[in-house]
Amino acid sequence: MNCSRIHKHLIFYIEGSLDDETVKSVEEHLRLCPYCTAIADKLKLSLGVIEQEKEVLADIEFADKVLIRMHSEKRPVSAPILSIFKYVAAAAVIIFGVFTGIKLGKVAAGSAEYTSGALSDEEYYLYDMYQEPIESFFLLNHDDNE
Amino acid sequence: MTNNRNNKEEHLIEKLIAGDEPAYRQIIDNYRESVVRLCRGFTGTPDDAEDLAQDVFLEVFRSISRFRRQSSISTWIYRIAVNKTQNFVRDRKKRAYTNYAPEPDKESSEDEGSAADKKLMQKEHAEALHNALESLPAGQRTAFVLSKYEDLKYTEIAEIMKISVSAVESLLFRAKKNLQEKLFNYYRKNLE
Repeated sequence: MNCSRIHKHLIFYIEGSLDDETVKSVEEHLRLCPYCTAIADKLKLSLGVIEQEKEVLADIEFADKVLIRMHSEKRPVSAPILSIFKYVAAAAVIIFGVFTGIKLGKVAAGSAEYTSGALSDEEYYLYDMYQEPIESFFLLNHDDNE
Repeated sequence: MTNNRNNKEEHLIEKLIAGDEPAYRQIIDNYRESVVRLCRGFTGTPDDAEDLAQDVFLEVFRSISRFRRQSSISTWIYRIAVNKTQNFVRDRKKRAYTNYAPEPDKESSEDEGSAADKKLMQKEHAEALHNALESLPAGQRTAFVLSKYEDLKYTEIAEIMKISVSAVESLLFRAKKNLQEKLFNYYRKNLE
């Protein structure tokens, strides 16, 4: 067996899952090849890490830590109420917006009160011609020139 | 015997659903080691493994009412652990975590002479192993960790991963082949 063939078998050799004949060939090669032996040793050490990491140290506080986290995450029970409030607030904003829009629409369309000249205080401020007397002044002047 | 175990498990599940704290503690007692071991296999670091294991149990307790009892509770807990750890590894990769850098074990306070050299060597081998593991496709990595860290049988791995036994065999074979190749390349560079 040459080196590249040995490399393909190494992990299975270390794991012990090769048949006897292949094990014999691998061992024969490793006896004669220091390079493959060095690779095999390092591979063995890397896979040996698994056995070390499998050892789990006792942790008497683990359950407490989990339960504390669980209780602390449970505390904001008001979360569903908050989320309901969020929707109610959104609905209120929309209703207010629609209502204001209707009101403004009425003013912009020129309601009966406006045509009769009887503007309420509110409408006075909303009707921009009354807020821009300079503009009206020029408009009036322009009419005079004509 | 199995019936008795099923009844006990059923009883425990009912207690968990009812929010019984001793039942929570019992589940942690029964499965902490397995979950921490599995998390260690996926993450490579003891601190991440511990945090993830806590997340796994929190998820178990939060979603116990949705457990449909089509498998044993251990299989279900393993599934949650696998999902959590897969997400963790994926997120770590997203955060451009290209090189696994294992944290020193807390108990490694001896820092003199050969003990320190040994620790350093161990760290290097752990780094090589986990870098290689992390570069495996998710299925291969999961099958390998369940097999090597938890010593589970092929049938158990198949149930957890919801695949056939032959698919598990194939995943494990490819995982070992790929691991060998990656570790070989890593050590070849070191030896040159």
